[in-house]
Amino acid sequence: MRKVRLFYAMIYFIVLYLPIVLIIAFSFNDSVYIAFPLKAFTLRWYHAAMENQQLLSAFSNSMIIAVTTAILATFSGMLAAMATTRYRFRGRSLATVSLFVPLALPTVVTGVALLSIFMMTGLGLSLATVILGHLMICTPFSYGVLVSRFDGLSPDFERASMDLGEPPLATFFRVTLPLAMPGIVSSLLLTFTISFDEFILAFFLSSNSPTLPVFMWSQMRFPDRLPLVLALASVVIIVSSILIVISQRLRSKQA
Amino acid sequence: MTDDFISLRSIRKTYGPVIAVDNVDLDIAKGSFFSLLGPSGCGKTTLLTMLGGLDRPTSGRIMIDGVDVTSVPSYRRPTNMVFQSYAIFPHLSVADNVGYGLRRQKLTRAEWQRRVDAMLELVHLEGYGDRSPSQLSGGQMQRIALARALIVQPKVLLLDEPLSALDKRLRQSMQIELRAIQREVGITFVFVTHDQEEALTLSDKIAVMSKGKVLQCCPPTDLYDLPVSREVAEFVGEMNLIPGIVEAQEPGFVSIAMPCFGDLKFPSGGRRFAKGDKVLVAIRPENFSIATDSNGLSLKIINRAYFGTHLHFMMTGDGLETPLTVSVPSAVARAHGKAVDSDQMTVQLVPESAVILPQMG
Repeated sequence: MRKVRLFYAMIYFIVLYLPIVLIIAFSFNDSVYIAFPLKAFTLRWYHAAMENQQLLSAFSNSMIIAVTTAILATFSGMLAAMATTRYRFRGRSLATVSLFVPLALPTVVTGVALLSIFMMTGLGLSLATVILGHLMICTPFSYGVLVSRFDGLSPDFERASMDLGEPPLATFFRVTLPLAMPGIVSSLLLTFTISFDEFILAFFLSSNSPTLPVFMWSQMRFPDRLPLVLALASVVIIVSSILIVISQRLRSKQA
Repeated sequence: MTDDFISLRSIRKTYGPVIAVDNVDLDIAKGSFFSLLGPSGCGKTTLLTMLGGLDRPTSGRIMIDGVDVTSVPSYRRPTNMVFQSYAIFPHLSVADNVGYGLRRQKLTRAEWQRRVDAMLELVHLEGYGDRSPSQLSGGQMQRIALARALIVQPKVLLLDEPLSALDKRLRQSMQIELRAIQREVGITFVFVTHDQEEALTLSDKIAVMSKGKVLQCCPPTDLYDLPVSREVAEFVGEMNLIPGIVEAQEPGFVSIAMPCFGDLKFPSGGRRFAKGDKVLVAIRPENFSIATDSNGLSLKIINRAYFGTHLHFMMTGDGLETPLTVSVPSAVARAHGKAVDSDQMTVQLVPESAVILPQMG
């Protein structure tokens, strides 16, 4: 039985991580073709990626979108988390559920809906529209992270601060914010990663200023640029993994 | 010493259909140690948080030092609270916790430090300023919470069961210390507790609460010796309640017929009774004496427990509905030797120390 379980676990992890390992392996392979056996080791795909202007501009688009989204989603997630944990009001459980609903909607549906709205209202497409789209999917994650943090935070700390003469706003900055900080950092990292990696909404809403995933997708039409995409993908995988690990660490530390 | 330094007038607090505090009127004297005593859920903590401005009464008025503070928020009230959870800020050092409330006073760094050090000295935690709260024990956290509340020199200090999380020995030494600190700073303390012994030891005055109402408000000795109702009598200390019927009333005294002890004359305690009234004779276990002659009542001992200074007996006899608890000082018990060791003992009650309560409910 023990062996079966071990075997299952190994299969699971192989299926999960083999494609990723292959991507990274082929990004260092000195050949345009994705085929075994591997040829010589090279860094030339990474050099090529660094010199590709379109790629750099897509990267900067993604950074702008992800940073803005992370900050705005975390801010609204925090407000929502404070509202549902600090106050008892009519419709509180309904509010809690509706905050998570966007997670259940297929992104394609959200994408089509947002595209129609932006075209209908004449807003057009820009980085801002991608940010709005990403806020829709990132805020629930931010709320999820922060609500557990605020739930674990006794309201007595805020009450004590007010009792000691600090009005609500000063109490927020001197007590609430520092105590919620691990959750806030964790939320920033998580939402940044989600926004940075997101493809479908960005594909619908980015028009002629593509994000990194959209750029990668567009490069797939050119077989000779595949290794370059692999190099880029490897970088994204590694950076994302680091951010997720940090975010998880912060969340477990607060528990 | 003005008696109405703090006055609560017709205070009510409801949460939906639940009445937490029901029409409470209280006056608290300046510089006194005042306790709100009652079982959990009696509304004592709600009353305290309303005094601190962390909760608003549904109706009624709160005056502190002549000022109506009913709608003044906690951050502008001359009150400070020691929370049951202590609520020591975990992200600040001990010194920053103690000095938290000083920010608005715009002190120089040196003056700030001097005030914090003086407070740490008051609670016997000199040199702990740089520590993190996570390095403190429960008793130390409790002192920091006290120092943090006192440093802003409130007119009233509110304490919400501050000793309940401590073990018995520490709690007793903190009780003594708390009383000493209160005398030193001269601030009015309003103390919430469910521990009657704690309330009796510490307070100048105690308000006993139950189901949102104040049942009795008086000094501790009166509370123990002269409870106004069965509920108070049973909540504070141990009390024997012997049913009886009023025979006659004369000035200052009332004669009561009891099925077991016969007819006895009791002080009426200013109450008026009519012949035939059903009453309860409330008498503390220590207010019995062992009788050597035949004047007492011979009762059967069903249980005995030794408490060091005292011996407790549970006794039954003809006409007693519930067993009687009798407490005898160990020295007296030794002097009576054999009488105490047998199955039967003759006891006499001391009418002067009994209280006659109306039999209700």
